[in-house]
Amino acid sequence: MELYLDHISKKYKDKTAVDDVTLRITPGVWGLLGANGAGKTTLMRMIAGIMRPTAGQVEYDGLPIGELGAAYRDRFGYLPQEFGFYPEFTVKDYLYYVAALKGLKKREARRKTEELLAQMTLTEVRNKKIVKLSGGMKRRVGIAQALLNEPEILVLDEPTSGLDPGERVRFRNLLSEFAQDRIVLISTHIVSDVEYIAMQNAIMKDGRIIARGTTEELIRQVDGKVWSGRIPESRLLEYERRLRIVNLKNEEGGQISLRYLAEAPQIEGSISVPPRMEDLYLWLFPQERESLQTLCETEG
Amino acid sequence: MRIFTLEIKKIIKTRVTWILLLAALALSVLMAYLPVTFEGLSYKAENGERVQLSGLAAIHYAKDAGASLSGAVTAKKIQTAVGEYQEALREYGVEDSFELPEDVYYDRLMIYQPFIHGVKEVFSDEKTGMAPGLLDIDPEEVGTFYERAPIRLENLMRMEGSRQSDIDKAEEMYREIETPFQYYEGVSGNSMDYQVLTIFLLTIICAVIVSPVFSMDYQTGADDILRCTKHGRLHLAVFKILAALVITGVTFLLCGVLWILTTNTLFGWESTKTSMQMLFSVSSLPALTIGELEWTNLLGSFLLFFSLMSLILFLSARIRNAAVALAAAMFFCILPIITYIGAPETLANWLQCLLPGGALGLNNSLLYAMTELDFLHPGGLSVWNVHLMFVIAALWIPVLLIGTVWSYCRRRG
Repeated sequence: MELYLDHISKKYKDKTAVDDVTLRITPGVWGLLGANGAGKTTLMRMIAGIMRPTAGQVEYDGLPIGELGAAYRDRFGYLPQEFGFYPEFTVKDYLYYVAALKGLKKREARRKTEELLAQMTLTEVRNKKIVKLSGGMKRRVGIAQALLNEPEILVLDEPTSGLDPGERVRFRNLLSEFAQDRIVLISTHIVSDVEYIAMQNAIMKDGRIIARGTTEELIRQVDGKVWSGRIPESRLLEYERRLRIVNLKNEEGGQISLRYLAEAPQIEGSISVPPRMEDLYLWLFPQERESLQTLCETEG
Repeated sequence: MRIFTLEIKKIIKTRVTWILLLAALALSVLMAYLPVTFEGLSYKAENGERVQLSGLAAIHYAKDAGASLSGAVTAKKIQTAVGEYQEALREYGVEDSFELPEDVYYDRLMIYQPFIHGVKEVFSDEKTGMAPGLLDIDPEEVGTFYERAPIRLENLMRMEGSRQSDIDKAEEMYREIETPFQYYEGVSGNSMDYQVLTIFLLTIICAVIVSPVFSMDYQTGADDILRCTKHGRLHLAVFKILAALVITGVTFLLCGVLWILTTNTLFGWESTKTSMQMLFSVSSLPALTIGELEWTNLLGSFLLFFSLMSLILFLSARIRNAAVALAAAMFFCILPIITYIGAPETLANWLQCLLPGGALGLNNSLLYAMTELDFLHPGGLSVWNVHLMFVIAALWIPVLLIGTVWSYCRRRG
């Protein structure tokens, strides 16, 4: 089982969204990381077959997905970054509807729907109209529909946006179980979503894959560049301007503990710490610091 | 089949849809009832006072008053009608019936009015087409009404510059009409106008239901998930089309039938046996009674309606924004009305045939086209407009629906 992206590009009038991407995706969880606008969603849409590449092609087990048609879609599950529901449909109606389109028999559709409703903790709202659900619940309905046909290839675009930390943890566990002998590709800019479950990662920037490998392989790039030091609270602004701060923590006595990125220690007494995926991410996408910090604070 | 059922459920469950469907049903009954309110007359009661009647009471009174004249419109009945009119005009020393006192019209002439209808038309001047005054008509000559009617048709078409082949074709059609004509008091031309209006309003309502079928999914991104599923392309497109056409088709027919049932119940079923030529021009070509005309207008419009809905589905599959798709749908609903008014006659007739739903509207409606003597000449043939518009509508439907499926399946970013 292999998904092969063969030199695919997507160009708009004056912008190249995806630029000559070649990637061989094998079973397991794959993380596709990149800042907003890096081209992740465009790449995902081409893999899903709902966008035509300007050049190159997507192949599944050696055959172009366009030729495979319904046979490819039968093995495919997709959660787009943003998508519309039918406001008058209940959760159950919607899942039955998608199940029918996925070719599930009526009985199988019911069984699978009930199973996923339970897994996604949506059973209580099964008869509620989707329009009345919270953002996180809608997202879970989206994930449930993608899993209905137990796809061999599961493509999830920003699956955890809108989920609370507990829901994110449950989702990660579910995916880890599901990914056995399947291809699961998760596009995200939330590093923690994939850090511990992705077997392989690909990092996109300006439409290109700039790095790929296991989490361990990738974070080696920032080995010796991640530091931890303490500064007085009064000097925070100064250091914020100078350093790439990954996160910070208030400590007793008016001190602040910083985790930062630099070629050499910038604060007296700093110690080198083991790198994590988010360090690499911030190293590659310095402009993303703010959103990353917000996220880390949210997750506690 | 399950996808089809779910598609139907999806459309029907939309609040706007069922509100529109209920509105369509209410509208059909209202449009059938409105012409009743236009009916009015007066008569002299036994105590000598005049009694005013309106609505259903007026319809029932007129029906009773004209009962003795119901049935075949013989030359004798026409002669009697002309005689009664002439006598009243001479008695009051006026030229035309509208100059008579209202009471005189209701008491002496009202029941003969339908028989006078075609006389002026049939005995109009051969060269100028001018209708004669009633007093100028020789009652003896009126006895040749049915012999003169085909001559009038030929003269009229010559005056309008029709080709000989058109005239031959029209005469061939006219020979199919049964004579003597039949007349029963009841359904009026006013009512038939309201059938036209009902059909147009139903078309607008259904266009609102159909226009977002594909475009709304594009706009909300709902189709991103659907088109990634096994049956999310060809199957889904076909079932979406079928669901939209079944819902709007059933609505159109149900409301149309409801209009016919209500109208004929209010005005009297007997009047459906009246010859079309007694309510419209004597030179009208279809060999239909009013009842048959009501059904022909409904079912013929249904074919045109299907071609227009096919166009709207096609537009919906091409346009990414639901509001723009709705605007485009409304544009194509109204376009035939505008072109029929604005374009030169021959072009207007062609557009009426060529545009999907070109004869769904008001002045451009199928009903009025059936009363006209317009012929078009595709490939040198003489073809009556109405026949041509049916053929073209039947061709549009598969072309546009295949185009819709193709557009949906091929749509990619």
